[in-house]
Amino acid sequence: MASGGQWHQQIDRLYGDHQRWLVNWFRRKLGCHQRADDLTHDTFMRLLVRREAITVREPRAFLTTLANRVLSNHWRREQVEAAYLKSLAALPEEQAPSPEEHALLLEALHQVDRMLGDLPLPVKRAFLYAQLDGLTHQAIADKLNLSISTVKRYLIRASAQCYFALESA
Amino acid sequence: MSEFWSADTEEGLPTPPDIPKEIARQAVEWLVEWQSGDMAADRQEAFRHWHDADPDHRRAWRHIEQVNQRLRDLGGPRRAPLARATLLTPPLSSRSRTRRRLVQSLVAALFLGGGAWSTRDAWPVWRADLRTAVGERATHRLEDGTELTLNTDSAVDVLFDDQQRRLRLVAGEIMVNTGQDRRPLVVETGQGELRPLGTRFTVRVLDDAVRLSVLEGVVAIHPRGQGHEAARVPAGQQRRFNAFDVAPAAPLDDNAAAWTHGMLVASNLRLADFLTELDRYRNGSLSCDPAVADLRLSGTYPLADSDRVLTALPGILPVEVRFLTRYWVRILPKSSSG
Repeated sequence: MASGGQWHQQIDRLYGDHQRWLVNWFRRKLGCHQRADDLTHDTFMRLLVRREAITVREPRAFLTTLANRVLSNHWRREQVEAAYLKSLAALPEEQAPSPEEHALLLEALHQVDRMLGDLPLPVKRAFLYAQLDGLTHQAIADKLNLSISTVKRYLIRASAQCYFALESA
Repeated sequence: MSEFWSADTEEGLPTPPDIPKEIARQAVEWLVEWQSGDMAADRQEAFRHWHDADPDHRRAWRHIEQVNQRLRDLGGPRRAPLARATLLTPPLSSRSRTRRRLVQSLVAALFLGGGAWSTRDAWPVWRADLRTAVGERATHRLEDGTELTLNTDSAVDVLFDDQQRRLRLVAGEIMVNTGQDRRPLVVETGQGELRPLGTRFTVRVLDDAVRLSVLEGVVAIHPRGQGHEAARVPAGQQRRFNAFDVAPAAPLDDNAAAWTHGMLVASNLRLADFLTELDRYRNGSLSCDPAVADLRLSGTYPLADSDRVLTALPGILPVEVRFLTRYWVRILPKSSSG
């Protein structure tokens, strides 16, 4: 097991040997140099904030795994942003948030999106009705055409994941 | 030591407190009961007992309240619909979901004439070998010497093996300038395949069709639903096709290759069509009032700075440009006062 100091040395070496390769890898995937640099930076940051060391035997395979995760996170953020802009465009102008509000809203949306993770859509939908609109179980059941006990099951499942990262049965 | 990677670093939201699972589970059940809308007085009393009975109970509950505080930022009659629409966007697909969607789009393609293929399933775009972002353009020289240029918001898979050179156009638009190689080159699209015979051409994926414009040489079209060659398109012509049909030939339009030089060429183009074209190179929403949609314009416009193109519009046409944010632009009739 590598100690903390050795771990940092190992990251330095990974960076020195593979940073340019990783930038190119991202650039091919993204078609954009600027963001390739940013995501390469993110990838190495993830290594730095890690508390325990690991031994890396196949550096490029290892970095690719990590980079794929950074990339899918990045795409998801873009996807959320695109969905946000699209729903925004459908709103009447006078209902649109102010420019300052945009940044805050979008950041909150990214956070909540990560929290909801890959819960099934009907579960997310029920959870959002309860949380964002304060609807009662009965009202959600009516809206989504579900039984009250299903609504309750959905809400418990979503809440267990969102608040405590528990996988629920 | 393994190379297995588990913890993703989460940012922003309060980290879950370190409490036993069973207590977390109880806290969640209480929360859901509070949200039911008909919690009886004795149940509320029971909750208070539970809450006060143990420091871990209180910590669990405080954590729930902190997260709810963040969620409240997204609530209310004005924001909730926006937040809902955004958060209910399906997540990036797992492999199984991709496969299911693929089956769905194949089924849809059989019954809807292939249109479904082009309703941009996000996953193939994102995992494509080569991709450009909105507003970008990139040229790649492939191993066989073929020069491949991707226009804005485009995605291509490069699948070369011993037998053939296959380019799968997943989304957007490309220009291909073919290299010399013994293996045949095939451009695959949702609607069918293109087989160039030593040539330069562009291919663009439209909503329900594909448009081929040939600049040099000849390209053969093989619609997906026919399985054989349906047309040969010579230089100077363009044709649209879908999985079943090839539209009649038309002369090349001015714009077919202008984008490879970063230009948008308009000759007597409707404003609405001009904006649709320009919109491909921008993020956000670009639209116009129906009252100005039919105004016409001509000229050559740089794609690299579409903001400037928009700000210049009032000098050319009787319109006003409203930038609500950088991403949200609407073109209106010139107001009589101004």
